[in-house]
Amino acid sequence: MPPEKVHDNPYKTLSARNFWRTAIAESGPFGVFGIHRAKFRISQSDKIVTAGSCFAQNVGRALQNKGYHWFNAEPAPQFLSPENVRRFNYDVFSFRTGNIYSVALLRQWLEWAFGDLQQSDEVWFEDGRFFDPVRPVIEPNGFASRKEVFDARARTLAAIRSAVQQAQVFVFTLGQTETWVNNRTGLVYPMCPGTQKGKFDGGLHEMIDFSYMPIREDMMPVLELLRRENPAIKVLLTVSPVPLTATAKAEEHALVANTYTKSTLRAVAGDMANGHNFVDYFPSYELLTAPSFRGMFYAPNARTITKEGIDFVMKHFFKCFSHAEEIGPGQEANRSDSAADGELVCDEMILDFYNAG
Amino acid sequence: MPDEVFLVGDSFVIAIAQAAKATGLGYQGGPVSAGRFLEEPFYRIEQDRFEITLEGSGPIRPLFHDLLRSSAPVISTVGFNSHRLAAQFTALYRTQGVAHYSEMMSGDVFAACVLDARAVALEFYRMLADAGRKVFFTCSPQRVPLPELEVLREAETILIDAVSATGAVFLDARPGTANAQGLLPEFALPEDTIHANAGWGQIVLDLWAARQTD
Repeated sequence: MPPEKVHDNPYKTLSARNFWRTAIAESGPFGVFGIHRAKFRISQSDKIVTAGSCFAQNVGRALQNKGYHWFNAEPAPQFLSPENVRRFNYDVFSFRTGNIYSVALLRQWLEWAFGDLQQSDEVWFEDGRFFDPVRPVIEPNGFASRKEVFDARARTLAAIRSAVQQAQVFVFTLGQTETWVNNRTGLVYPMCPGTQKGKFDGGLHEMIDFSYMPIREDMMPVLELLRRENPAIKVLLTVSPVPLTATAKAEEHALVANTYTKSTLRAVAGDMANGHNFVDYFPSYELLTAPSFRGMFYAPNARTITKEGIDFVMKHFFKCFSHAEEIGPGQEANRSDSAADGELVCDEMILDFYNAG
Repeated sequence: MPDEVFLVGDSFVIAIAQAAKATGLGYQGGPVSAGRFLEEPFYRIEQDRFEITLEGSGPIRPLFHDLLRSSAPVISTVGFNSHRLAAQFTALYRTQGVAHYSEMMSGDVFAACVLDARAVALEFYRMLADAGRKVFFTCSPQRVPLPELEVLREAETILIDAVSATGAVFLDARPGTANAQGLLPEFALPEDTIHANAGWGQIVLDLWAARQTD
């Protein structure tokens, strides 16, 4: 009997990028090509909002460096030095929320901003200063009063509204499944109370390790809210490649917990992109964590992404999403010198003083 | 009591120099420059010689060479051209449609803005303290439009605290020379909407003299 003929099958028509051997193993880490087919393009005039975990900070910075319009809806006061801009957590994300590690926290911020959810009135008081539990380290020494906490939060919520309503693209980096909540009020915290500020109360503060469905149930209203407020907005999801600092699950190894977190987030992000034509997923996580990269983009602490890693990811990002040729960094903003004219008289006075002997 | 002071600062130092001259108190130094030029680095130290580096300051540089070497107490207005800060903040208020900084930023951020804007002045006072100099300072008697006065006072308070923290002693000439509208007319130069006269300078020297018994 003649050997059985190989039948046609779907794999026969696929390209090299579809096969691990050609796409990854043989191409080498720097030969990876066609990593993602973007659903939409991002032009340099598009207003791009970034929020999420710390990896999103890198995205915002890289966008600015490439001349893209990273939309800063809550910029630092013009008089602040670069050092203090960093100290006071301005210009990190498009609004001054600090890190938003979980989808639940993103939902909370957005629903507060647009009035879908009443704000929590919880404030932490420590050493004579007041701290906002949803961003306890946004100001290095906290706030002078409870009113200042809520005034500052109101400004951030206004910035969120402005950003969402004006943006063409909303980039969100998912970071964590392990999320601390107040089990009486439902308030979602960015980190465990008591780790940086606040006081941990075992009866009040509960860690929920969100699984796929609850995260999806938070993500869906987030997407609905974004489109309700801005029907043209596009959403770009990424998963942070930065591993968990620690797991709160005592029985679990950090590596195992991290794999659960990242794989769950990755699944949600992928499904959101698959299910919505205005949502895309950019595989920055894969670009840094795949076996062929052998962890080369991680610092010696096996956690921090190196500058080379950021550059590598963003090179692929721009290749996927950009319309145009890259341009150089933008011009620095002009600083106000409006009061200079009023001092001309001083120069003259000083000359007169010395001329008079 | 010392029979000489070392004056350094912006154009408001002139009023103090005139008062010193009128009362026979010796002085070294004088005004260095308009206040806005003292917001950027304006000097360097060569060994123990204080060298003004501002463009066009050549002729007056020798007057300040002994700033660190002299034993005469320093009276300074460096950093207290607060009307510029007030004008800048008021312009920002206008563009943002707010009436007060607290609608835009926290008190700590405002303080950081003020201290950043006067970082060179603060470094100057720290440098004098490190050199072991006895330093007194006073606010330049700003006459600003009323809407700017509130932020000016708030900025001054922050700056006074920061300069005092270097060990310098504040000579507060405001009580008696100013009211809620700013500098009283009798302490202002005629036909000058900004500067104070020798009468104000004398108040500063009187405050300084009173501190000599401390």
